[in-house]
Amino acid sequence: MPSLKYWRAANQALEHIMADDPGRVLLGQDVAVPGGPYGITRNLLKLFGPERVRDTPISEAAIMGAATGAAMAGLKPIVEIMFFDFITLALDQLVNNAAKVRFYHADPKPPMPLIVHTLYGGRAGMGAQHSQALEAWLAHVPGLNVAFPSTPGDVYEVLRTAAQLTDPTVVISAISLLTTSDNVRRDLHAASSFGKANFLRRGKSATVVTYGPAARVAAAALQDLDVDLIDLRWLSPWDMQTVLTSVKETNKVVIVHDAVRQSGFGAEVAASIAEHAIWHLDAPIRRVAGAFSAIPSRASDWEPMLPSARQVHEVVQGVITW
Amino acid sequence: MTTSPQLVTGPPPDAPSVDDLTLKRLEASDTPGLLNAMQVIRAIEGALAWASLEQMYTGPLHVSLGQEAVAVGLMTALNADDVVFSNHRGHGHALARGVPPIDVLREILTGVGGSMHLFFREHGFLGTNGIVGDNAAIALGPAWAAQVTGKDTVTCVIVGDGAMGTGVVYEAFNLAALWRLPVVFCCEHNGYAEMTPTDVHLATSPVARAEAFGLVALRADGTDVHDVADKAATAVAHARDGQPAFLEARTYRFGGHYVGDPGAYRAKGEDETWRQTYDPIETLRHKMQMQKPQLENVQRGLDQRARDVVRWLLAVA
Repeated sequence: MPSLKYWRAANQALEHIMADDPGRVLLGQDVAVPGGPYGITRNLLKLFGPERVRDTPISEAAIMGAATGAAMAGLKPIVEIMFFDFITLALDQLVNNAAKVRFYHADPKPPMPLIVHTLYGGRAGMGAQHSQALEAWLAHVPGLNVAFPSTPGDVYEVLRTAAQLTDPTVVISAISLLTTSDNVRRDLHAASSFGKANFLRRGKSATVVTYGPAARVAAAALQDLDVDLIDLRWLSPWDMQTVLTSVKETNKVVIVHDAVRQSGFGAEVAASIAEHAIWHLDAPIRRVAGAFSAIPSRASDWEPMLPSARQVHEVVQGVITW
Repeated sequence: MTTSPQLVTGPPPDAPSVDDLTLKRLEASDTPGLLNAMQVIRAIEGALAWASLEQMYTGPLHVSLGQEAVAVGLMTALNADDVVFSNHRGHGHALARGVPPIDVLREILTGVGGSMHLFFREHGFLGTNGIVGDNAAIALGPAWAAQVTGKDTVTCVIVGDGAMGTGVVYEAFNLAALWRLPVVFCCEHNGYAEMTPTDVHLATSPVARAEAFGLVALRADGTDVHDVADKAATAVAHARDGQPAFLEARTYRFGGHYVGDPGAYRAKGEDETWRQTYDPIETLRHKMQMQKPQLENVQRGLDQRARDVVRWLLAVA
């Protein structure tokens, strides 16, 4: 169980995926010679050659389209979209084509083994166009899998799992987590963890549901409280069962994420709990989420807009003592 | 789905024979075969339009009446293991590619995808597409796959002049030229982007744009099936050799953007003039020195057979 930084765990996962399967190809801006702006694709060109690892122009739509077509023709593309915000430029191809090709086919449906990896720049002072958490847009699209891991071990496992799936899968990594370290179990890459949440802590007083960089904030904030802290890891499909089971035991729930509260993924979690477990609740469902605003560049300006440890602690404490 | 009264009374009619409508492999030198293919496409799309206007079928239908020479000429240049991508006006492309008419019609009339989402993988036909321009980028994928795996297959994608307004087409041109992908972009320039004429939506010609991106850029008379076949063969040969190509085929869309579109945006008499001047089937009949009644007689028989098939499919669906 080596200790790896997040970026290195992602890099290792990509290397192992490509080594295992000669059909895997990688394309994106600055992925080959530069190795990615944060090292996530480092060494892959050297290991797998220019046929399989390609730098592209700044053409997100054509890259996503070409990857979709390549998957239809039997290749297994990995697309790196440098910042999550830039996925807007590729969304037409991802949503209207990649997510729907299998739908048109009768069984046995051809696989669409496309992996998209992208970087969420919130909490890193990247400015309004490099800081958005748009995961709810993607989780809203039938035909896509969506994951937002928060630890080196999870990103390794999620990527290895994604490589075994037949629907296109988007994996979001947070820039703010890239240099965090964790032990990575390289044997844990079976698709059995697909769609499964992970308990960061076990407790009885409340359930806290989170994912992505907010999971790290929540974990640090809640060390003195007796809570079930659930890191969803996967947002589509998401582990509703684990959440409901926990809520039925704790009877209280708080949802924490960086994305803006309005129509954020937490709204889906809250609605599902209300639908399936409302009579088990002893307090209102609370959400701690991003302010409904674009994200400013300066730390002193963005910090109050994203969930902080103090805020998370306060809200969870409030729910526990409700 | 709206059903006409004649369909709900009595048992479904027997399955009609589709032998007359089934296209043999198209060869550029087989002029009667090319004529037959164009007539079959016209019959099948005419039957679809008929079913739609009679409200036996609801849902959008973009037919390619008047554009048959492009589909037929282009497909003569492709091998069985090449890959074809089409657009929202793609019934003719699938038929000319050799997909059995019954399969095309079944998918259009009763399939999950419908007209704009026709996929026939066993024929290398990887899709019509309802998003204008998108397949230009998707077509790069199989071309790239061929390059990576060392196959000498070509990918051909058909776009309209309307797609020349989308940015992704130019991203695709650049990538194709940059990576020397074995791809042919065929621009079926039919005079209208949906309901907007070319002079209102394009500042420069499609072929000039392709040339500027470093593609082998060719033009064909899209009303002349032989000219399309000839230029398509050149384009495909270049692409197979690692020189991606672009072929602009000027053609003329008869009727509106979709079946039922009254075409009020068109100049008075334009559609009639186009039908009289630019009909690719008439053009070929002249070349073949065939008598008009003979051609019309064949067309009537195909039209009837196509309607029988459409009626039967809707009845048994």
